[in-house]
Amino acid sequence: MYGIKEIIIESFKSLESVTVELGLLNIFIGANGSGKSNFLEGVGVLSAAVDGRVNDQTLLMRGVRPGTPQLYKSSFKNTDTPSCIAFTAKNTKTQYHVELDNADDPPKPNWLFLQEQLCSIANNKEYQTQEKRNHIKSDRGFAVLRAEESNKKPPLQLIRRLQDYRIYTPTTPVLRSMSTDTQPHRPLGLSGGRLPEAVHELLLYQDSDSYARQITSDFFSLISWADEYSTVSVSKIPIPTFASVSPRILKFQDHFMANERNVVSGYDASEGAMYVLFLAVLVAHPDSPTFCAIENADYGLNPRLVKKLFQQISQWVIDSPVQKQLLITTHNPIVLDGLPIQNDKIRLFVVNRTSKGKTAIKRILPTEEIIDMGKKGHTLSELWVMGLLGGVPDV
Amino acid sequence: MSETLEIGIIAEGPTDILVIKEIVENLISDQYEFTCTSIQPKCSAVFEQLNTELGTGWSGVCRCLLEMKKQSNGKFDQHIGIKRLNLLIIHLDVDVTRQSYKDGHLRNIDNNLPCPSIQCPLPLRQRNQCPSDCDIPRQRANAIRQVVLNWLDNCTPQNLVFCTPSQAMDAWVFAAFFPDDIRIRQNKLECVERPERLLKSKPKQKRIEKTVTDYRKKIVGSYCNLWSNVRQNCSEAERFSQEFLKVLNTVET
Repeated sequence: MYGIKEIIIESFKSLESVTVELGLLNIFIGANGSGKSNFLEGVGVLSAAVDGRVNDQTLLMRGVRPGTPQLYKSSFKNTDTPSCIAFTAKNTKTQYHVELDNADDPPKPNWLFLQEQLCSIANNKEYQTQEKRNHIKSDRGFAVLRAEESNKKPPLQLIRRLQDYRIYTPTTPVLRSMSTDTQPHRPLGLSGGRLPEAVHELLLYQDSDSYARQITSDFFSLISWADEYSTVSVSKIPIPTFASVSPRILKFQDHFMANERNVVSGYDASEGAMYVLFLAVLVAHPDSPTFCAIENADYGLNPRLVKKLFQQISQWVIDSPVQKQLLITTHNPIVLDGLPIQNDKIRLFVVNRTSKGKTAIKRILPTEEIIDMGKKGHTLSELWVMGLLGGVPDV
Repeated sequence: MSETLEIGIIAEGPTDILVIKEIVENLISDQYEFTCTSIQPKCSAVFEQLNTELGTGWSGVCRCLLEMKKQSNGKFDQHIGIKRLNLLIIHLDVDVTRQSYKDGHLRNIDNNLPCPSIQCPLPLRQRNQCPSDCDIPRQRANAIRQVVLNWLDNCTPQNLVFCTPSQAMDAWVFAAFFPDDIRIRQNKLECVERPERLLKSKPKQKRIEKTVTDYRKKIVGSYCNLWSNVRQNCSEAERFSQEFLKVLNTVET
């Protein structure tokens, strides 16, 4: 399996030049405005480029806020505006690099591909399409074609994974099926739409897949009040008629309530259960992306549940047969206490802005000193809150 | 140098941090980039209400250092949060020498606060013109530095720089914006008790309130360029500059 090892983003928003070596679960912490979302969006632009077109539509469908060239190109004080924005992704064998440009005024609908390379890292040999046409300064990229024609696993897996990428920002009303998702996708919309349908599919899928079965059962170790969960048609559960925009709804059996009065719908259940199921679907559903980002994954969760959930997610991605890669931003210190960062697949990054406003991303390595502090009962969350890891605002 | 310098600041309060960041901006030439992170003790608002200044102020600095000492098993210089920094600044106003641990709602850590009073040897009538080589501010600053060293059992990292304005950071703010003030001409600014009153006494349009909002509006972005005024008129500011640059040189090599 060739997961994405490294992402390089240049001249994009506050990311003048940032290199991040990824694991499977990648957690980004930092002050508001430090550039965490810019990094996730930069990867989104890269994903759109891999797919062949960079425009408002291809960006929105990945959860990226479209921006004018003036906003996308880094514009630091006393520096020249860069000629292009550039992105690189690597797995162990293959590298994809793209440079994009667009006119400032008026911008064209599609960004131009100034340069696009898909090549082997070992010999720097480019994977070319059989057509000898000049791809330079076209508004289309040809990475998918090149990877498919190479018929080799490393470029194909790099490109497929990048194509898959999208940024999820789950919101409670959408997870409860009370509001529609503006970016519907299968299995999940970018705001968490289709959750009941996706859970239904996952519960069917678990019959044939032990990994999915493990994850669906782990739910009960996280949500202690539920004895059972499933999905039903909205007509089969008592909820207000206006409450659901979906034909299916989540159904939970409350452990503490009397028989026949113990059924709780997704409309009524605690939002914590929704977020846990959302994450479980993203990790275990066979059609969920192999590479994606999640903002506010810990919203609405009790601190102790947050810790346990991130321990659980860490284990889920470590065990993942397809090596799913997740990028997650959080402002919740307790998330850090759930991360076994001594495992190289689980990585913690601190995002800061330098004195010149540039985003700097640094990995927190599990040094002996950190492990030693843990043995003495100290926690990563306490170090972060004190400012000892960086990534805090000056307030 | 390709890497971004990482600087940690343990300071009495948020306005002090804003000033220190401006000073650092001045001292680190434009070719270097840095991140500044303020390090603070853990605290909950409920306890802050019970004990004022628990989270900030000089007692906040003390609690933060003691907590970190504990976290690193007594070896403050080996603390991982310190080791990852290129430079650590500890700020304490010199007027802390007059405080007691009881004032800061701290148990008596040592019998070193308040420090023995260091009085000006000049008779009152001669204090209108303080000699330029007066070392009273230096003696007071050394006293508060010694208090910090005691807190840390002298176990300090090599990248530590003390920032000890005499008698308080407000004097450095005053020196920057009002270099022609009579107290500066008389070389007395560093001996003025409660220098924040000097700032308050200015006419409304020149007044600087000790609030984050006012500091952001009036100090951030401009103070950096006025640092030479402070260095010229405050011996502890010059000392801080020199010590900072000395440590910076060791970081760069």
